[in-house]
Amino acid sequence: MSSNSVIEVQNLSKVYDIEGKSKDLRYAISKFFSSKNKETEKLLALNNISFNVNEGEVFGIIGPNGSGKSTLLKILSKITFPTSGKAILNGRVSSLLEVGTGFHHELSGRENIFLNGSILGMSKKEIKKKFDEIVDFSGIEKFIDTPVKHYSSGMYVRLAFSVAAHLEPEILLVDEVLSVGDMNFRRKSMGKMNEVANSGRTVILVSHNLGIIKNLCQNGIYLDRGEIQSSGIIQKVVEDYQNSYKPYQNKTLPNISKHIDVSKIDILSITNNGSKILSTGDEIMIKIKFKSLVKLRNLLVKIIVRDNNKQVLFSCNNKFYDAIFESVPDEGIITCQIPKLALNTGEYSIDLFLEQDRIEIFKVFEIMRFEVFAGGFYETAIMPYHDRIFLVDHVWKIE
Amino acid sequence: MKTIIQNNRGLNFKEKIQELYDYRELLWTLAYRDFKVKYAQTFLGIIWGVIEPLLTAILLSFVFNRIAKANTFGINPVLFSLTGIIAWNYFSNVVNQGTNSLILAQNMIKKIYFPRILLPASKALAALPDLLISILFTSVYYLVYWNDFSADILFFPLFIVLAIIAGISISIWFSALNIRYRDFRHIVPFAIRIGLFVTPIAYTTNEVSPDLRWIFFLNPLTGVIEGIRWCLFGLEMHWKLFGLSMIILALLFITGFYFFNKVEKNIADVI
Repeated sequence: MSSNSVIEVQNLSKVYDIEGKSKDLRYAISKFFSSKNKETEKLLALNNISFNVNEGEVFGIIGPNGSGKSTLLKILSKITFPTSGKAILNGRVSSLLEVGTGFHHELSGRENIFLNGSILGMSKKEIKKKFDEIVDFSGIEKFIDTPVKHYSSGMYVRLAFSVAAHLEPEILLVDEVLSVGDMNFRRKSMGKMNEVANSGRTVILVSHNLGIIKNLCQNGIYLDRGEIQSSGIIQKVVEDYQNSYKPYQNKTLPNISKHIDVSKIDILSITNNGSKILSTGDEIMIKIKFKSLVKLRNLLVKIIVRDNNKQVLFSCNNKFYDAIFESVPDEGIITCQIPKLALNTGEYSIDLFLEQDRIEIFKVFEIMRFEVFAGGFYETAIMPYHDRIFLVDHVWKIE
Repeated sequence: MKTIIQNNRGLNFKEKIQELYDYRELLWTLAYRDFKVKYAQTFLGIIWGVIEPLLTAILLSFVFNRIAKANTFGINPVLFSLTGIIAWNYFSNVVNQGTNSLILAQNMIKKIYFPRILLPASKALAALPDLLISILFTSVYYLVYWNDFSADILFFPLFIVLAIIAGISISIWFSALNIRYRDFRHIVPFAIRIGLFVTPIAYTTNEVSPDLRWIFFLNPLTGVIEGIRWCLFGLEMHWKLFGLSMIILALLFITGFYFFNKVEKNIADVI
């Protein structure tokens, strides 16, 4: 253990009880009277995590959704407690898991600055000292005494971020809050984040945005299913993540067709050098590896993409381009390229259908699932809210 | 500053108190927010702090003194009820707000750490201006309808402090229970409605048979309200039973603090 470690995490584990019934008085009473101790289902969210962060270092944590990143950050922020192991933090800690925590819509911007500031751990004196700076940074001087319920969502977020940006802890824990506001404001907040990173403060940063992580961090860890998969210099960790992470699971493909055997499906990001990590706006390629069991001709390929609720979103079909494959090799790879992935972040699934001479020869629903991460569909890299499934290119003008 | 995070089961009392002291500004801020929001966009604002107890007092004195003929020992019935209502109203407000304080702040609880006990505690603080207004109003009523003062009146603030402690204790208990068992959301309003009748607001326990009187004093609010009547009007006070009330209050406060601490530990996981 090096002497200048500011954060030491030692063998940290977290187990969640998955039991919905604890909130029920009837359950508690029956449990009290029954001698049997019912087994509850457990979920191991973090398994034996250890790492050190040195003073002044910006430390990145990356990994897919549900890998334990947020749990780890919640433990370090004291929001939840570890099941075993310990963490030692030397210095005043502030955590930023969202912006605007505790904002009340009936209160004015001014009152919310004080409210949010003291929730984030600033003293009244500190807030007073920085008040003008905060207001200035947010760019909403004119509305500072208006209740925030009258703010646009952009103004709200700008004010909230501005308060957070003026925290001055020795240790800062940040979760994915940098992508807020419009382009100008994003640039401003990235600048602020750079300033924080260079000010000698120790920062732990959790993000899906590998660009930001590579830019700001020196070291980091890559988490998956609650375990550290890779740790050390950030470039190497990001590389390991991109190489090893399988953002989707293939169903084991049974040989269900007498005509064709599909052995493998892949979705790759061409933008990201063939990585399996797909981001919004990437050029992607779907690869279907197959073996013909009989001589095939006039092959139609249909791919249907669904969201998590099984709602059909769109389909790709070689018929649309009058590109039905007239001759089919005995063995090969069918590829389908999508120049700009227009899906928002989230999980999706694919159904695959093959037809020969309009007769179905292969049909598998949910043949694979894939995940889309935040990315640069728009040059600003701003992502719409999750409930907006599609992103669309558009042009603005005023005359 | 060094923070050690681990799964320790016990409660370090000294550390906890120090932490609460460090977070005192947040307590004020939360209380200010609640107070501000309560009267935001209301026409009468804080005057509600007068209307509510006055109407309740008139109603109660009508039911208990006119219809049920409860004895007020020559004290103006509305004044008599008012002196009970100020403590009861404060108490029931704090308990009502406090019980739901954690659930209503669940988003905050999941996103940032602070001593969770500040949430129910801030409700006790936020209700103080209302209490003060109703006390001021009652004093005016008192000066008009009463002219037999004694030095005992100096004890009045003490009983108000006891009412505040009772409000905090019960809302700490209920807010923690509400996290464990959501049933308490239904139990609490019901319990408060019953409390309005079993607490001697428009009557006194002097009228109750001496053998059964102690049952009333199991309710700490009985001790508080009879105490208020004693110092304001010189009504007979059963000091031994008052002691019983206070022991129960102290027990509720201490056990509430420990129970809350136990529930607080994994609150972000279960809320």
